[in-house]
Amino acid sequence: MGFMAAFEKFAEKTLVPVAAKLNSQRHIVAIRDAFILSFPITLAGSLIVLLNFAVLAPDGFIAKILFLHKLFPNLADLQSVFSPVLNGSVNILSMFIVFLVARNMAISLKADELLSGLTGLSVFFIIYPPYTNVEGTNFLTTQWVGAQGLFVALIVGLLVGELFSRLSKSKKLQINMPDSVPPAVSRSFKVLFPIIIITVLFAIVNALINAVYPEGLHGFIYAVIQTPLKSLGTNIVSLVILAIVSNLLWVFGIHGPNTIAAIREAMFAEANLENLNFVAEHGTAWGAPYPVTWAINDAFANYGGSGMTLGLLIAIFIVAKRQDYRDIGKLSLAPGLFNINEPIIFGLPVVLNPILIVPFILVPAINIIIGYVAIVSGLIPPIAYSVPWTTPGPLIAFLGTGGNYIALLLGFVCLAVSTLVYLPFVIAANKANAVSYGGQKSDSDVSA
Amino acid sequence: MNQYTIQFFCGQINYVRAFFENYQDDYIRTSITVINKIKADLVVDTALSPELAIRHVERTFQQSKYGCALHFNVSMK
Repeated sequence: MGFMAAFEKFAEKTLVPVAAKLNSQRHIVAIRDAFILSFPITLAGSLIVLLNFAVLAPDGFIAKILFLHKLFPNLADLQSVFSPVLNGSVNILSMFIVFLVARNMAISLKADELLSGLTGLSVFFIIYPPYTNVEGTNFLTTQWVGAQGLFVALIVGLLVGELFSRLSKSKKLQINMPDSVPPAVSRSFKVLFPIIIITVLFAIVNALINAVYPEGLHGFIYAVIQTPLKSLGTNIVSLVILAIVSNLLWVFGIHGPNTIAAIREAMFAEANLENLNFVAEHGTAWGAPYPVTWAINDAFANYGGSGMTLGLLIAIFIVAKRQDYRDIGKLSLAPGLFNINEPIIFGLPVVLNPILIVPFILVPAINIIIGYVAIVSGLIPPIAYSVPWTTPGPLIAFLGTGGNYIALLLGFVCLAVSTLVYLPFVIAANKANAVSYGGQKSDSDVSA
Repeated sequence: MNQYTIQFFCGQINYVRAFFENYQDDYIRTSITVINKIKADLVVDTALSPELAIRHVERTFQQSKYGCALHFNVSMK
């Protein structure tokens, strides 16, 4: 049995069951889906930061190109109009996450999802550092409702979701109202005791932890779990390994990005948000605190989709002699510009293709390292702005750095590198007959 | 009752076959012919329109034990 066949068997017998477990394990799914659901809100915050500093600021790169401040002298005043969007998105992300995780847990355990989410939010603030009273007015610190409170939000969401769902199914704890009572009232009373039990329980746990660790549960979890995990995540080795695993799973037919999503978010979410907050505060990505985040992958290693297949498409147009490759290349170009590569993944195909598997995994790793070196050497700033993953190729690097032209150029360099790496493999594919897939020869009849 | 042939692409086609071989629910009844390691023809008997049938097939497989982890693509033949 050849290496490829052995690995295919390994993927089928071992990787798929493991990936299936990861993709269906309710705690992992709850975390993954919470980040997916909150993504539009964080993206809105990020786009507002981009708008404020690229368009409205006098020295913004779009403002400069379009001479906006000569046309509209008071444009910068509008920044204060949009800034509060950040307060309602990125800066309170932990509140969204705790609600969504507890809700998602209840969905998978078939309990009352809305009240589970609300109980999660309630507990998040039960264990929150107490109000400080300044001249008769109570103030609550915002330190833990944003990026720094993410792990508490995840843990509380999971625990509350699990507890709430289990307790609310206990008949002994249910208060059943007569049919004449309005449904909303009946629904609330049904889970009254579970909510009381959970809130009291967490209040006691909080008091105990405060007695031992005066900074409270938020400070404790931040120091003991979140900071070490963030350090683990925000280094180049972890980033490259995650990219390799994701793309390796992809070529064996497993949804790599989905499978690693929960781990990826847990490792990088805080760093991404801290970078964005830095930009909002300083108006520039230069000096952002976390140079290494998953954003490097999107900015330099994901053009055309997983495996940087835009480089493969260009390589096909340059050297492919096989008509099926050229046809699929043409079909795949338009979606590929927006980083969607289904046609090429199943059309060439890339999946289970022993020739293309190597560059598909290698190219993103190389480009991540190129992006990393450029950032840590000070050639370009960190990728601090969140940009939608469907943004065409090098524009992600350009916009993600807040309009840095060297980053844009580097994006094209990465595209050229990926094309160069793919070239010999496409030439090899010219010489090989259509790859046999066990039945009829490989064909190219995938429609977009 | 309509009959459609849906092309199913997946790098783990054995899991697709195992799921859709003689599969039946309230909306569809399927039989499957594996063409090669990444492609199968799914014959679907259904009262649904082609678009709804594809959507139902996608959703059903996505919610299955292994489908949630697999990357796949379906299109009407």
